[in-house]
Amino acid sequence: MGYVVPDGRGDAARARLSVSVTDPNGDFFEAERVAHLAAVVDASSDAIVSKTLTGTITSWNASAARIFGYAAEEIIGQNIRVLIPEERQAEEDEILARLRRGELIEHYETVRIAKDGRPVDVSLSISPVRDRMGRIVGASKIARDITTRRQAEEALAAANAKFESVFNQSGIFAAILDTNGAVRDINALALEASGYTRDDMVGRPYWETPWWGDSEHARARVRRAVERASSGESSAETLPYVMADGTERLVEFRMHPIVDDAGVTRFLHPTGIDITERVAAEAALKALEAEEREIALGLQRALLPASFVDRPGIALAAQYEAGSDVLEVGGDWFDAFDLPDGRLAVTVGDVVGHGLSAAAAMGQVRTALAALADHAAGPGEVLMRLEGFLARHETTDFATVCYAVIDPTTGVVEYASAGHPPILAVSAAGEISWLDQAQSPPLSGAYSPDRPQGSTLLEPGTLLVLFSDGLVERRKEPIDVGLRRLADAARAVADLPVEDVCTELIARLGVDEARSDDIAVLVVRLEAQPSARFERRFPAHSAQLRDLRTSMRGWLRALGVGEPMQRSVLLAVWEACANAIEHAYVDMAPSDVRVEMQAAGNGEVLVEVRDFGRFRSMTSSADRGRGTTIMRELTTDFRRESTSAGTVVRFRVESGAPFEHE
Amino acid sequence: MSDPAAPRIESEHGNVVVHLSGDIDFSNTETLETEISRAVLGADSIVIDLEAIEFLDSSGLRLLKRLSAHATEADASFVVVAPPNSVARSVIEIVSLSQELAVQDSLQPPNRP
Repeated sequence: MGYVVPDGRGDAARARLSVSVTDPNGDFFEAERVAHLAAVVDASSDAIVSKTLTGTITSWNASAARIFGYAAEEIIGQNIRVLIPEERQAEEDEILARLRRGELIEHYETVRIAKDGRPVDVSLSISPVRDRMGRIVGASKIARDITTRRQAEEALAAANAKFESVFNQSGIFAAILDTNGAVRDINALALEASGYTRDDMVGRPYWETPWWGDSEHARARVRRAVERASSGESSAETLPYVMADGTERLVEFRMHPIVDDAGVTRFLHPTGIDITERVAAEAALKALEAEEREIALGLQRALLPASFVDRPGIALAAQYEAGSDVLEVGGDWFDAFDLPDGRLAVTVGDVVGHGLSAAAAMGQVRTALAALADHAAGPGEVLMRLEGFLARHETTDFATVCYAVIDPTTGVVEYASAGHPPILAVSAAGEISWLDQAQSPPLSGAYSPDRPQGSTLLEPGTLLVLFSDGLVERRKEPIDVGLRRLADAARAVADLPVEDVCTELIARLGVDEARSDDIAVLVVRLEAQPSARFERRFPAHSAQLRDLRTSMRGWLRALGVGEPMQRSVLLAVWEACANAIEHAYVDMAPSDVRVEMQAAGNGEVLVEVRDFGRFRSMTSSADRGRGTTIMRELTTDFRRESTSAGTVVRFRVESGAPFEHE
Repeated sequence: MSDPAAPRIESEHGNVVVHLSGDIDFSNTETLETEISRAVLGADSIVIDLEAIEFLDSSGLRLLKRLSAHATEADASFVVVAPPNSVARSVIEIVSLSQELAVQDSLQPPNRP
């Protein structure tokens, strides 16, 4: 009795298990073991057969019967050659010869014939069987039916062929790497397009293939992509690569792991698309866009008035600010021109659209409006005629415009707006009003019979602000919030020279977020003899105080007060207001602070600062008293009176105040 | 009128120079104090440059006094730079603070005899 000891190598171990059941001298335990082994043999899904060295079959298990169609009774005793096709008979001679030499035959794939004549693909493992003396007396043979596997392999080969054709004929560079990143295969396109041979690539780590040239960066990135893909992670990026002739190009590079059913990464699959032309085209497009923006901007500026003529009694300034977006140029305009009767016409508008065509349309609209203005009875009629012009000449099918005519001698303003935000008016005292009594729909090229117009009387010193919606519009914000913000800003800067008003408004309203739309602002002030009186009343918040400084500076400058005296007045009034804010409304609701200033004929400025709270004696610390020291030092006749109604501080500032001497 | 820019700090070997610009008034002294105190922490020498100041009020002067006092406690030297005729210098001199603060005309150290 003997059997071949398994060698512990998986399939091969099973393949080696074979039995000879012909030993008559076995004892009881041996017999039991034999029975046990016979059961194992019968349960195997592989055919297990034993034969003598001449080929006579001596055992035949259940799977052998199933695979080859012969029952054990009919085949035992026959020669194994009945299973072997005619053309393969020589195989058996070879097998027997090797067995006699004691060799093993493993996983030998061949074809055998079943009882019904059907060929069966089998994988054979054959081992010699020895008797107790160690002599080879026969062979055990395990035959695995691999017909199904063969079919699967053929299907796979077909799929591979298909894959090969895709792999080699697509417009995509592709390769197959092992999980260490060594190139296994590479498609024809990747080689042909870049001028390399298969030998330049296959076998090398992917990051060391000549594609990446000397670029440490590219190599590092590719190596990183290999590492990521080995752990199952795809990646993509754009990298430079080098052709065989040294030309550098760009590839959009991807790396995918190829994972088997068990989730194990088997191969890596880099692909690439050459995007050199695409990138170049995109850059060219960007350059074109930038160029168009420059041209549109140039055209825009050329079409807008470069400067305004000085007119007695009127200060006038305007500013155009392009949006931040590349193509958001054009469309907004401003203009100011004299009418034959001596009045001043001002306008701001917006032709919908951006870029060159909008800028060009804007130029036409602006010119048309100036030409039509002379012949119309008033602003409403100007807008009606302008719409007729736009319809006839197909200049644009959507524009908004506001237009006003100012009589500097009387202060009367006539105005009309087609779909445009109303004109803002800030009086010399800082009161806000909107010229909003003549709103009509935008100019759409469809004739509107009725364009209303309004008129109002402006006090001397009133500031008018005409603007395009880019100044006030914010995404996700109601328009009236923007209008209120503009009113606050305009009030704060109303006393500045008109050029500065424009600059300040754009700066103050444009800083919060990236602005995409362009902005046109036009500011007019009806000059008056500078008022000898300055009065402001405001809530006791420090934020308001800063704007007060701006207003005071404007008033003092208009009076012709020199810089050193301006400083004295500003600081003294500021300290008085700061005291009121800090001390008057302790333990009570804050009310207002009122500042009044009067220019005296001798160059002095008389100041009164009043609050409506309760005076608290200031802490006696020297530091706290510095504000008072400053006021006393800068002014003459400094007096402070506190009553139950509040505190009044009065002083005079003389020309030749301390700041003029050092 | 211009808003105060954030203080520009130069710091080298324990010498800290704080350049201030724009307006200093009671609406921003608290913020400035926090920023400057942080910047001069552990300094041996502190210079506050007021050359570019456009407006300075009494609360700004109090801020300078407090910074100076803190510097003395911390054994650091403390100098204010305000050129003659500058806004800051005028205000400092009006309240005679130049007697309590070390005020220099320029960032260059004064020539020693």
